[in-house]
Amino acid sequence: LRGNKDFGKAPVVMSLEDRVMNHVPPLDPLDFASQIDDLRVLQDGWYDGRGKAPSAMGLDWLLAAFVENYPDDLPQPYVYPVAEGDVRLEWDLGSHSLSLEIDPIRRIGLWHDLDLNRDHDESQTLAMDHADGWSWVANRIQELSGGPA
Amino acid sequence: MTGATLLLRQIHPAFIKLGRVTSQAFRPTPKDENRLSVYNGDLIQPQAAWEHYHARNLESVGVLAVTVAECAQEDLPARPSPEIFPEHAEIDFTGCSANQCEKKSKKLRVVAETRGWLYQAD
Repeated sequence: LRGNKDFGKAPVVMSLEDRVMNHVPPLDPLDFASQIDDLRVLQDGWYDGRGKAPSAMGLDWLLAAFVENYPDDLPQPYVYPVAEGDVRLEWDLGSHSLSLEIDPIRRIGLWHDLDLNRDHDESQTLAMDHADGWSWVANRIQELSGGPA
Repeated sequence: MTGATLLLRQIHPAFIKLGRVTSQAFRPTPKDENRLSVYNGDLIQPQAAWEHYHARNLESVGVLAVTVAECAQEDLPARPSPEIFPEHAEIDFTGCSANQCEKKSKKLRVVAETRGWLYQAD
Protein backbone atom coordinates (compact mmCIF):
# COMPACT_ATOMS: atom_id res chain seq x y z
CA LEU A 1 0.00 0.00 0.00
CA ARG A 2 1.10 3.58 -0.56
CA GLY A 3 -0.41 7.06 -0.34
CA ASN A 4 -0.20 7.45 3.42
CA LYS A 5 0.22 11.24 3.07
CA ASP A 6 -3.15 11.58 1.37
CA PHE A 7 -5.43 11.14 4.33
CA GLY A 8 -8.97 10.39 3.36
CA LYS A 9 -8.02 8.85 0.05
CA ALA A 10 -8.34 5.16 -0.54
CA PRO A 11 -4.96 3.44 -0.46
CA VAL A 12 -3.60 2.35 -3.80
CA VAL A 13 -2.81 -1.30 -4.20
CA MET A 14 0.34 -1.67 -6.29
CA SER A 15 0.62 -4.39 -8.86
CA LEU A 16 3.60 -6.71 -8.83
CA GLU A 17 4.88 -4.89 -11.90
CA ASP A 18 4.64 -1.52 -10.10
CA ARG A 19 6.47 -2.88 -7.10
CA VAL A 20 9.26 -4.25 -9.29
CA MET A 21 9.56 -0.95 -11.21
CA ASN A 22 9.55 1.19 -8.07
CA HIS A 23 11.71 -1.09 -5.93
CA VAL A 24 9.06 -1.16 -3.23
CA PRO A 25 9.52 -3.84 -0.59
CA PRO A 26 7.17 -6.75 -1.13
CA LEU A 27 3.93 -7.02 0.83
CA ASP A 28 3.49 -10.65 0.01
CA PRO A 29 6.03 -13.04 1.53
CA LEU A 30 5.73 -15.04 -1.71
CA ASP A 31 6.46 -11.96 -3.81
CA PHE A 32 7.95 -13.42 -6.96
CA ALA A 33 10.56 -10.69 -7.56
CA SER A 34 11.81 -11.05 -4.01
CA GLN A 35 12.08 -14.80 -4.37
CA ILE A 36 13.98 -14.41 -7.64
CA ASP A 37 16.33 -11.98 -5.88
CA ASP A 38 17.06 -14.72 -3.36
CA LEU A 39 18.35 -16.86 -6.23
CA ARG A 40 20.61 -14.11 -7.57
CA VAL A 41 23.00 -14.48 -4.65
CA LEU A 42 23.68 -18.14 -5.33
CA GLN A 43 27.10 -18.97 -6.71
CA ASP A 44 28.35 -22.08 -8.43
CA GLY A 45 28.81 -24.75 -5.80
CA TRP A 46 25.88 -23.48 -3.71
CA TYR A 47 24.62 -27.01 -3.07
CA ASP A 48 27.34 -28.50 -0.91
CA GLY A 49 30.04 -27.84 -3.46
CA ARG A 50 27.81 -28.83 -6.33
CA GLY A 51 24.94 -26.77 -7.66
CA LYS A 52 25.07 -24.51 -10.68
CA ALA A 53 24.09 -20.89 -10.06
CA PRO A 54 21.09 -19.80 -12.11
CA SER A 55 22.02 -17.51 -15.00
CA ALA A 56 21.47 -13.80 -14.21
CA MET A 57 20.08 -13.23 -17.69
CA GLY A 58 17.86 -16.25 -17.29
CA LEU A 59 16.49 -14.91 -14.01
CA ASP A 60 15.85 -11.50 -15.63
CA TRP A 61 13.90 -13.22 -18.39
CA LEU A 62 11.96 -15.40 -15.94
CA LEU A 63 10.96 -12.46 -13.76
CA ALA A 64 9.81 -10.40 -16.75
CA ALA A 65 7.92 -13.34 -18.27
CA PHE A 66 6.22 -14.18 -14.99
CA VAL A 67 5.18 -10.57 -14.30
CA GLU A 68 3.84 -10.23 -17.82
CA ASN A 69 2.04 -13.53 -18.07
CA TYR A 70 1.03 -14.83 -14.65
CA PRO A 71 -2.01 -13.12 -13.10
CA ASP A 72 -1.07 -11.71 -9.71
CA ASP A 73 -4.47 -12.62 -8.27
CA LEU A 74 -3.71 -16.30 -8.62
CA PRO A 75 -1.88 -18.20 -5.87
CA GLN A 76 1.79 -17.34 -5.98
CA PRO A 77 4.35 -20.14 -6.13
CA TYR A 78 7.16 -20.99 -3.78
CA VAL A 79 10.42 -20.56 -5.72
CA TYR A 80 13.50 -22.75 -5.27
CA PRO A 81 16.81 -23.22 -7.04
CA VAL A 82 17.58 -26.52 -8.75
CA ALA A 83 21.04 -28.04 -8.57
CA GLU A 84 21.38 -28.00 -12.36
CA GLY A 85 20.73 -24.22 -12.59
CA ASP A 86 17.02 -24.40 -13.27
CA VAL A 87 14.33 -22.67 -11.21
CA ARG A 88 11.50 -24.58 -9.59
CA LEU A 89 8.07 -23.19 -8.79
CA GLU A 90 5.81 -25.15 -6.45
CA TRP A 91 2.23 -24.76 -5.30
CA ASP A 92 0.10 -26.74 -2.84
CA LEU A 93 -3.53 -26.46 -3.90
CA GLY A 94 -5.91 -28.74 -2.04
CA SER A 95 -4.75 -32.29 -2.63
CA HIS A 96 -2.60 -31.22 -5.58
CA SER A 97 1.15 -30.92 -5.30
CA LEU A 98 2.17 -28.86 -8.34
CA SER A 99 5.56 -28.01 -9.74
CA LEU A 100 6.94 -26.20 -12.74
CA GLU A 101 10.66 -26.64 -13.27
CA ILE A 102 11.94 -24.03 -15.68
CA ASP A 103 15.19 -24.02 -17.62
CA PRO A 104 15.65 -20.24 -17.91
CA ILE A 105 18.16 -20.58 -20.74
CA ARG A 106 16.19 -22.90 -23.02
CA ARG A 107 12.95 -21.42 -21.64
CA ILE A 108 11.33 -24.79 -21.28
CA GLY A 109 9.11 -25.75 -18.36
CA LEU A 110 8.36 -29.20 -16.98
CA TRP A 111 4.95 -29.23 -15.31
CA HIS A 112 4.01 -31.94 -12.85
CA ASP A 113 0.69 -32.29 -11.04
CA LEU A 114 0.29 -34.95 -8.36
CA ASP A 115 -3.18 -35.43 -6.91
CA LEU A 116 -2.39 -36.98 -3.55
CA ASN A 117 -5.98 -38.07 -2.96
CA ARG A 118 -6.21 -40.04 -6.21
CA ASP A 119 -2.52 -40.96 -6.35
CA HIS A 120 -2.60 -39.77 -9.93
CA ASP A 121 -0.07 -37.57 -11.67
CA GLU A 122 0.15 -35.71 -14.95
CA SER A 123 3.06 -34.00 -16.62
CA GLN A 124 3.55 -31.62 -19.49
CA THR A 125 6.49 -29.99 -21.25
CA LEU A 126 5.81 -26.34 -21.96
CA ALA A 127 7.44 -23.63 -24.07
CA MET A 128 7.72 -20.81 -21.55
CA ASP A 129 8.96 -18.28 -24.10
CA HIS A 130 5.43 -18.19 -25.47
CA ALA A 131 2.43 -16.67 -23.73
CA ASP A 132 0.62 -19.95 -24.43
CA GLY A 133 2.88 -21.81 -22.01
CA TRP A 134 2.18 -19.35 -19.22
CA SER A 135 -1.55 -19.20 -19.92
CA TRP A 136 -1.69 -22.99 -19.78
CA VAL A 137 -0.10 -22.88 -16.32
CA ALA A 138 -2.36 -20.03 -15.18
CA ASN A 139 -5.44 -21.90 -16.38
CA ARG A 140 -4.44 -25.03 -14.47
CA ILE A 141 -3.75 -23.02 -11.33
CA GLN A 142 -7.07 -21.24 -11.71
CA GLU A 143 -8.94 -24.52 -12.17
CA LEU A 144 -7.33 -26.09 -9.15
CA SER A 145 -7.63 -23.06 -6.89
CA GLY A 146 -11.09 -21.98 -7.98
CA GLY A 147 -9.64 -18.48 -8.03
CA PRO A 148 -10.21 -15.61 -10.42
CA ALA A 149 -8.66 -15.50 -13.89
CA MET B 1 17.26 -51.68 9.40
CA THR B 2 13.55 -52.50 9.73
CA GLY B 3 10.46 -50.98 8.21
CA ALA B 4 10.24 -48.63 11.17
CA THR B 5 13.78 -47.35 10.78
CA LEU B 6 13.86 -43.60 10.33
CA LEU B 7 15.91 -42.39 7.40
CA LEU B 8 17.18 -38.97 8.39
CA ARG B 9 17.40 -36.42 5.60
CA GLN B 10 19.34 -33.18 5.93
CA ILE B 11 17.55 -30.15 4.46
CA HIS B 12 19.66 -27.60 2.60
CA PRO B 13 18.82 -23.96 3.43
CA ALA B 14 18.01 -23.21 -0.22
CA PHE B 15 15.38 -25.95 -0.14
CA ILE B 16 13.16 -24.26 2.45
CA LYS B 17 11.01 -21.20 1.78
CA LEU B 18 8.81 -19.68 4.48
CA GLY B 19 8.95 -22.96 6.34
CA ARG B 20 7.93 -25.01 3.32
CA VAL B 21 10.39 -27.62 2.08
CA THR B 22 10.63 -28.40 -1.63
CA SER B 23 10.09 -31.97 -2.74
CA GLN B 24 13.53 -31.73 -4.36
CA ALA B 25 14.90 -32.43 -0.89
CA PHE B 26 13.60 -35.98 -1.33
CA ARG B 27 14.94 -36.82 -4.76
CA PRO B 28 18.52 -37.43 -5.86
CA THR B 29 20.22 -35.02 -8.23
CA PRO B 30 21.70 -36.44 -11.45
CA LYS B 31 25.11 -36.47 -9.77
CA ASP B 32 23.80 -38.68 -6.97
CA GLU B 33 23.56 -41.66 -9.32
CA ASN B 34 19.91 -42.20 -8.34
CA ARG B 35 20.71 -42.69 -4.67
CA LEU B 36 19.43 -40.27 -2.05
CA SER B 37 21.78 -40.00 0.91
CA VAL B 38 20.27 -40.30 4.37
CA TYR B 39 21.38 -41.20 7.87
CA ASN B 40 20.38 -44.55 9.33
CA GLY B 41 18.17 -43.63 12.28
CA ASP B 42 18.89 -46.95 13.97
CA LEU B 43 22.50 -45.87 14.41
CA ILE B 44 22.35 -42.12 15.01
CA GLN B 45 19.95 -39.61 16.51
CA PRO B 46 18.71 -36.63 14.49
CA GLN B 47 20.73 -33.97 16.32
CA ALA B 48 23.89 -36.07 16.18
CA ALA B 49 23.28 -36.65 12.47
CA TRP B 50 22.98 -32.89 11.92
CA GLU B 51 26.18 -32.29 13.90
CA HIS B 52 27.99 -34.95 11.88
CA TYR B 53 26.77 -33.38 8.63
CA HIS B 54 27.70 -29.88 9.77
CA ALA B 55 31.16 -31.07 10.78
CA ARG B 56 31.67 -32.18 7.17
CA ASN B 57 31.16 -28.51 6.15
CA LEU B 58 27.81 -29.30 4.59
CA GLU B 59 24.79 -27.04 5.07
CA SER B 60 21.55 -28.13 6.71
CA VAL B 61 18.77 -26.26 8.48
CA GLY B 62 17.52 -29.43 10.12
CA VAL B 63 16.44 -33.02 9.80
CA LEU B 64 13.27 -34.53 8.36
CA ALA B 65 12.69 -38.25 8.02
CA VAL B 66 10.84 -40.99 6.23
CA THR B 67 10.80 -44.63 7.25
CA VAL B 68 12.04 -47.64 5.32
CA ALA B 69 8.42 -48.82 5.08
CA GLU B 70 7.27 -45.50 3.65
CA CYS B 71 9.95 -45.79 0.98
CA ALA B 72 8.96 -49.39 0.26
CA GLN B 73 5.40 -48.22 -0.25
CA GLU B 74 6.76 -46.13 -3.14
CA ASP B 75 8.82 -49.08 -4.42
CA LEU B 76 12.00 -47.37 -3.28
CA PRO B 77 14.47 -49.74 -1.66
CA ALA B 78 16.42 -48.35 1.26
CA ARG B 79 19.62 -49.91 2.54
CA PRO B 80 22.62 -49.17 4.72
CA SER B 81 25.69 -47.95 2.84
CA PRO B 82 28.36 -47.92 5.56
CA GLU B 83 31.17 -47.75 3.04
CA ILE B 84 30.54 -43.96 2.95
CA PHE B 85 30.56 -43.72 6.76
CA PRO B 86 29.04 -46.10 9.33
CA GLU B 87 25.68 -44.33 9.74
CA HIS B 88 25.16 -43.65 6.04
CA ALA B 89 22.19 -45.15 4.21
CA GLU B 90 20.55 -44.55 0.85
CA ILE B 91 17.17 -44.56 -0.81
CA ASP B 92 17.50 -46.06 -4.25
CA PHE B 93 15.67 -44.36 -7.14
CA THR B 94 17.36 -46.54 -9.78
CA GLY B 95 15.05 -47.32 -12.67
CA CYS B 96 12.65 -44.47 -11.93
CA SER B 97 11.73 -42.17 -14.79
CA ALA B 98 11.83 -38.41 -14.24
CA ASN B 99 8.08 -38.42 -13.70
CA GLN B 100 8.28 -41.27 -11.24
CA CYS B 101 11.01 -39.44 -9.32
CA GLU B 102 8.76 -36.37 -9.17
CA LYS B 103 5.80 -38.35 -7.90
CA LYS B 104 7.71 -40.38 -5.34
CA SER B 105 9.65 -37.39 -4.01
CA LYS B 106 6.45 -35.39 -3.57
CA LYS B 107 4.90 -38.22 -1.60
CA LEU B 108 7.99 -38.63 0.57
CA ARG B 109 7.97 -34.90 1.27
CA VAL B 110 4.38 -35.06 2.46
CA VAL B 111 4.99 -37.92 4.87
CA ALA B 112 8.17 -36.29 6.16
CA GLU B 113 6.49 -32.93 6.71
CA THR B 114 3.55 -34.63 8.41
CA ARG B 115 6.01 -36.32 10.77
CA GLY B 116 7.62 -32.94 11.41
CA TRP B 117 11.13 -31.75 12.09
CA LEU B 118 13.16 -34.20 14.12
CA TYR B 119 15.83 -31.58 14.63
CA GLN B 120 16.13 -27.91 13.65
CA ALA B 121 19.34 -25.95 13.86
CA ASP B 122 19.22 -22.65 15.76
